[in-house]
Amino acid sequence: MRDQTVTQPESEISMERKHYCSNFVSTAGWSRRQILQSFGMGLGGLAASQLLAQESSNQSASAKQPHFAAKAKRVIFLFQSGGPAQMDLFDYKPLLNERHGQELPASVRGMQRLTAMSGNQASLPLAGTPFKFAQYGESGAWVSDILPHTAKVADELCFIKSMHTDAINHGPGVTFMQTGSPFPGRPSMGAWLDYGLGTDNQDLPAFVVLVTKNKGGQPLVSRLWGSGFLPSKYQGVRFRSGEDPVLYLSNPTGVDSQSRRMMLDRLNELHQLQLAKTGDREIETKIAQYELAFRMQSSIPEVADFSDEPEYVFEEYGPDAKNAGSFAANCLLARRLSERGVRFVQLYHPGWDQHGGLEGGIRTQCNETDQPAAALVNDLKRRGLLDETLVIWGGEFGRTNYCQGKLTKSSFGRDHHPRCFTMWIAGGGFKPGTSYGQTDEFGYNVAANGVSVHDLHATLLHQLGLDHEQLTFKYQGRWFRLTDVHGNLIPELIG
Amino acid sequence: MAVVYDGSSSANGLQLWVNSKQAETRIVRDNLYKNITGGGGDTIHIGERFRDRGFSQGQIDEFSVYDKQLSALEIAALHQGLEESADLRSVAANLADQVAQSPVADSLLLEHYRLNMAPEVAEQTAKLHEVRKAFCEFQDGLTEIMVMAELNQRRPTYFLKRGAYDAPGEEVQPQTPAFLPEFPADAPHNRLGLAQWLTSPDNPLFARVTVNRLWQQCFGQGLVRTPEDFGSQGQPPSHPLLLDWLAADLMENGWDVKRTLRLIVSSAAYQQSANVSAASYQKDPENRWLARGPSYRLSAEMIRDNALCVSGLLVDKIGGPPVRPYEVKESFKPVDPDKGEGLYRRSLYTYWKRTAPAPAMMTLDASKRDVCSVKRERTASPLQALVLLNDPLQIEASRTLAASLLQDKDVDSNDWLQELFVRTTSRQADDTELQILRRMFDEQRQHFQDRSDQANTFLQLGDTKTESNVESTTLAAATVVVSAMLNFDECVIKR
Repeated sequence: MRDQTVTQPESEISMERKHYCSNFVSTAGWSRRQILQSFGMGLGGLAASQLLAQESSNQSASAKQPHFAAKAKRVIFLFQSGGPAQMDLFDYKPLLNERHGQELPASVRGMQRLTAMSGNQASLPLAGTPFKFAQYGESGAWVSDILPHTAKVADELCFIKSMHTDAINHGPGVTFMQTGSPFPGRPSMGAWLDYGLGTDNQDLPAFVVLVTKNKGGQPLVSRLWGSGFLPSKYQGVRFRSGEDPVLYLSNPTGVDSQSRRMMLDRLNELHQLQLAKTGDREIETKIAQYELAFRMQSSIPEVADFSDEPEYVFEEYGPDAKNAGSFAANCLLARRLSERGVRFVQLYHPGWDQHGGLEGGIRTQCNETDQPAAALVNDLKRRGLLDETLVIWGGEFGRTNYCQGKLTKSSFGRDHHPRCFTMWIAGGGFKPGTSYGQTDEFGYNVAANGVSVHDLHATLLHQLGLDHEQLTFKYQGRWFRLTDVHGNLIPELIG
Repeated sequence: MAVVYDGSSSANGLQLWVNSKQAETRIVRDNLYKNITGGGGDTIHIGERFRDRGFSQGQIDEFSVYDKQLSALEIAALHQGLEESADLRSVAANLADQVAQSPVADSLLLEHYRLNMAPEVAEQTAKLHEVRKAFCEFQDGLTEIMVMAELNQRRPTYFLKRGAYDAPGEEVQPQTPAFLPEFPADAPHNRLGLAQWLTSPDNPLFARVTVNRLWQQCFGQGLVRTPEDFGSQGQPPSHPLLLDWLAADLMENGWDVKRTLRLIVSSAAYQQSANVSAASYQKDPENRWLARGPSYRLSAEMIRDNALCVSGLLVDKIGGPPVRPYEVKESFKPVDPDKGEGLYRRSLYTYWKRTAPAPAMMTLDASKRDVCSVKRERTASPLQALVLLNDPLQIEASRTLAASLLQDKDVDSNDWLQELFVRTTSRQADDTELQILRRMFDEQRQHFQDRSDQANTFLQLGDTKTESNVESTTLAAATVVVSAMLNFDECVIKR
């Protein structure tokens, strides 16, 4: 893992490209003759595109070996940005309804700090949920009535009721969940996976980001899917909902694919000459780069084009499924990307920040996300992909059991709450139909089996075949991990 | 309650009165400049902050705003419920009686007279008001830039127990690490002192680190290959004496960075060819021993600036506010690009938003600027090829250069192709290379002759219209050829 510089003895000249976890590709061991034979004049009439097609079909060249046998191959993270209120969705707390309007007991809050937004409130009245809870499936999972579709797939889900985080505001909170640190500058989880596992499909980016369009809410910033100190090729590629899903994917207007192909063929010839002249392997990389770019120009529009999906699929994902850029369409796109081997698909659905007007606000959020998220789980299962795909649902923190602002009959809100929140995970070897961890009867503190963000990361990496203590990168004098110096595997979550 | 303000923009000009007695106040901040109307509306909140429940269990009544500074007597009179026109002599006498000091009455009356009746004070106040207004208007019109400045009085800083911001422990003092050279005894313990310590002739580190970065800028790698870490975890220098000599030279010549850069680029080591025999390459694949010249892909900024420069589009203007090239339209938070010269300035001037950096520059490994970075990663991804092939700026530059190359030239001679090659690579093309370019041009010309409408659309791209007497299909074909050259190895990789 830490062998970043590898030198081969000269006697062992090998044609094999060396790939290490550091993604260091050794250029040692190549003679000028070998290079010429392989890529230069020795090729004769064989076009570069054919050569590269072969390399691409040999996918082991880019996929790297995990540390141990992996349960899951890829991830779809349905990030619910803003902080969904756990006690209005999954964490059923009847006591809050009984004590609705009464003060949060000081003994429950203890010495804990509140946010500056509600910390100055003269009163912290408990707020019961306005929604009806019931138990669903054989597992008897508690789900509120604003998530009817999720309730139906409850037996596929592994609920973690005892998540907790260090961050109390959105920026640090989302950054922590995505990078393992509340401070900017660390690689995102998807970037770590691309770095550690490589890609299963050369023709698509390994880490794709989809943001629901036209949602206000807390700002999302590009560093959330950034590569931090890892090389920038590991950063997430955000697909846009418009014409060009990827920056400058389309040829300039007036240039068609035929013109581009001819131009690239001649450019390849120039590069072959250059390669023969200099023997620099960088040129080989460059040739491959242009061929991959050319292939992406067809593979990306193909994956974003839903016209080959049957009608029942759209019905399953709900009325928004044909509306490009909606959460439903992004869930469907995530499935299509996963099917084609994309390692990490990161969705963001903003708007869960119900400081006020919670009842209406959270209903809207659920209407937009409930059916597509449940459909994604069912769809993956039907295609036999759920076992090897981790579907993660959750936000950056939870919300308070007390009301922020004035508690009235018609309206109330909840402030940020880092001490407990709920997430669910489906597939990838997480135990289906289970609920792990408990909060106290006020839904304020973790009562048993707390799971920190680092613990979650450690467990997710484990399912993907990576030891969170071994997946490292040296930067500014020290080795970094997604879990930094923290994180414990939670064996009870996995089968 | 009364709040009195004299309009001076200073904290001393603000008084708080409770039950007609001046309250004791503490100045927390005193740095008001410009009008207070900017930055999020000019609403006045009473007794609460944004999203706070604020003042509770009471009501606010009889709120009045005066457009003048009230005297102490007026406040007392208002408190006693007297008419605004009441004679204040008795109020003054009463107040003097309360403190059993008759001169108080006179001074209160004098203050009242001064604020309300004295014509010369009124005249001067009116003048002062005008001058302040003009001053504020002048300030409001200035563009504000944040700078770091020492506080008048240093804010105490504490060791935070277990890192919690509300658990201060022992107060700490500014000091440099003990294992590094001693802090000069006469230097102030602030940023000025830090700068003096850093650049002191007794401190060898700063100059060594600096010249190493300059070396890295020219050679792609520093003499110390861990430019961020000169400590025990970093790599030792490959040429320790050279590093020391360069460092001493920089210090002895007044820290003249330009001089050091000139020294490096005019050295025999730098001016060597990067093309060497495979045997030499194999012996030192990483070029640690500098037996060949540097070779690496140019930076994002250099690639863009180079396209601007060779095409003649570059607006070589120095300084001024940031500009918005085409790519900001494609950023995560899109903004409208400039028209005209702002599109063609050096990349140094590109508008930068950290949460949504310039996307083409990001693709080409420009620093994200969210954390300090002393070394950029150089990666190769197909997304870079898409930028170089399809970025409207690259196309526009290609067309502009094509038009200038073909102006009054014989299209069928190879002269303009040779000129193109020299312009983009600084060397002559050999016959094979010229043949390839010729074939590329002929193929593209044939292609566009069959689709002249496509040629016309293609030539419309970008903000600058190209004046040319060349046939549009010919110009379109030449544009493709130039664009291919801008993608050619030697145009983007230093050799």
